[in-house]
Amino acid sequence: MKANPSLVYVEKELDEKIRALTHFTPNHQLDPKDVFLVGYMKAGTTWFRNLVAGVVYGLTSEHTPFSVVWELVPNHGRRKAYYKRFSTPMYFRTHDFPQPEYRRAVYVLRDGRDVVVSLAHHLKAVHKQDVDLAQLIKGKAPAFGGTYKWHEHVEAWLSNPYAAEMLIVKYEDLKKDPLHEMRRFCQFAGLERDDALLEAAVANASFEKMREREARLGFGRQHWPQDQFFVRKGQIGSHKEELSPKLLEKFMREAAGTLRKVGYL
Amino acid sequence: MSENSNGAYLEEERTAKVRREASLKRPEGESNPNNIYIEEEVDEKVRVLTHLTPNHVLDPNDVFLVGYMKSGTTWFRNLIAGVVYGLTSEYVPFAAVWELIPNHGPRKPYYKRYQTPTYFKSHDFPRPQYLRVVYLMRDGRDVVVSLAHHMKNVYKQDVDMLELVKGRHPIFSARYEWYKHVESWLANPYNAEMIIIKYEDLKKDPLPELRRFCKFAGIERDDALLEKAVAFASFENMRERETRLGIDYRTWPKDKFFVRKGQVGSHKEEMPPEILEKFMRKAAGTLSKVGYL
Repeated sequence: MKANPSLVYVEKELDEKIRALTHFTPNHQLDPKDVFLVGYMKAGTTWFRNLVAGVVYGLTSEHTPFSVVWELVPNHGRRKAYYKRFSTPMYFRTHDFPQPEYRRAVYVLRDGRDVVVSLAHHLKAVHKQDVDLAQLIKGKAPAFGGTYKWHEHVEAWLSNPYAAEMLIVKYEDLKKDPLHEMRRFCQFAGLERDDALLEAAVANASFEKMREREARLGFGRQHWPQDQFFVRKGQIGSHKEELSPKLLEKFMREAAGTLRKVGYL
Repeated sequence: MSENSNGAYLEEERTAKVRREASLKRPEGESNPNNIYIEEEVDEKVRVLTHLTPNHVLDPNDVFLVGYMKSGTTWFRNLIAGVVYGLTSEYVPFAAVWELIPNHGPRKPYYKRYQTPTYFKSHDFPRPQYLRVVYLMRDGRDVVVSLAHHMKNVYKQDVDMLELVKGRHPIFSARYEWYKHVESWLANPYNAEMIIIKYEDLKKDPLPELRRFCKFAGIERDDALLEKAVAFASFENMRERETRLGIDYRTWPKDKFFVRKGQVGSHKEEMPPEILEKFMRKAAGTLSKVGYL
């Protein structure tokens, strides 16, 4: 029997009832054609999810609430027990390490130094208390079950232990030339989309448009505080201002090899 | 997803069994309109695990797109998904429309609330909780013809149009007659805020009807979006999407088009005179009241 990676245990009898009553699918039932949009936290997976919702499903309107994107391109994580299958393949977003069931993966990669800075802001907003950047750099935060380090995540995916079909998309390239990266995505996913649609998807997922929609419609995320913007800054190189030399040095001690390997140094 | 047909069959069987058992357990006099009864303990778990909302938990601002079966509610649902949520792309699966404008009916115990107001589709009679209603009306004679095709496709057996005219069919628990539905909504017993939109007007000139809808719903949308929504939900585009993506209605056979004809006046060719006469005996008053005669 296949191991259920979900942390939420649902008894068989209840599971049968839920499936029959809601027509949802348990998180561990996946299709080999499903595509996983993977990245470490704050690597741009939320942005990418919006881009993909535009490209795959044609969601490019200012009137589409974020909750629709979260549902059509659902999170695949351990705290979420069910999802609704709208099509096959489904496109999932995940922050997870490689899993045998993830057969097709788009890995969203972002400079780890910017990631740590962004993560500190994120955790501070969610938990409403100051975050120790030194601890984060060690991969420690109360929200993480174990340690969760950027370079370990990147290396695990680069080694691709389950031989998934895989494409790497860099956050920084996506910023610079989104059309080109979305064409690469379409080719990988086997989708034919014209440039007009790709442009509409890029426009609808621009920092300004996403921020405007967040202000007008809300973000539609259960755990996100309503008085904070999730779409915060979306910049490249924030660490230069926000990461002290001492902390940077600590980060580099472990992550420099990975940063160099993927071209950030 | 079950990977073989046998697995899919088992899943279907299990689903049917659970739902059958749940409907048998429904206590008498329960205020919940669901036919499906769910024990409190199970209900709590479903809500926590799925973040769905039970069908009977509604908001007074919710809007109900109501019509007798085959009055154009599926078409209207697609139009409204375009107008309200901006879904106007050829790549939008029907399942996304059904999800955003969910059906509110006795066989569906949960829905996902994407925003408030939520826009629901319903074939139901007036309910105290339906406080804002768009009533879709279509010439009852065309409705009966369309209903006969619908039932034939779903149950794969011939349908007695005469029985349908009498409001009888194995799946209708009570008599479900066109004129009764229309009259009960015209009477508006629970004083819902209400507008009536006629299928025939929507066919002839959709934009003014959608502008009326926007005004009623209190939303501002420019004509460019309304035009896109109309194109998205045109007969040709819906049919093309149905061919390419499937209609995603669980009970609908995959080898039939749900988007069948969408015409005004089909009864003139498809309804035998003696059946028309029977229909008119009861429905003529209503047809003439709402301007179809």
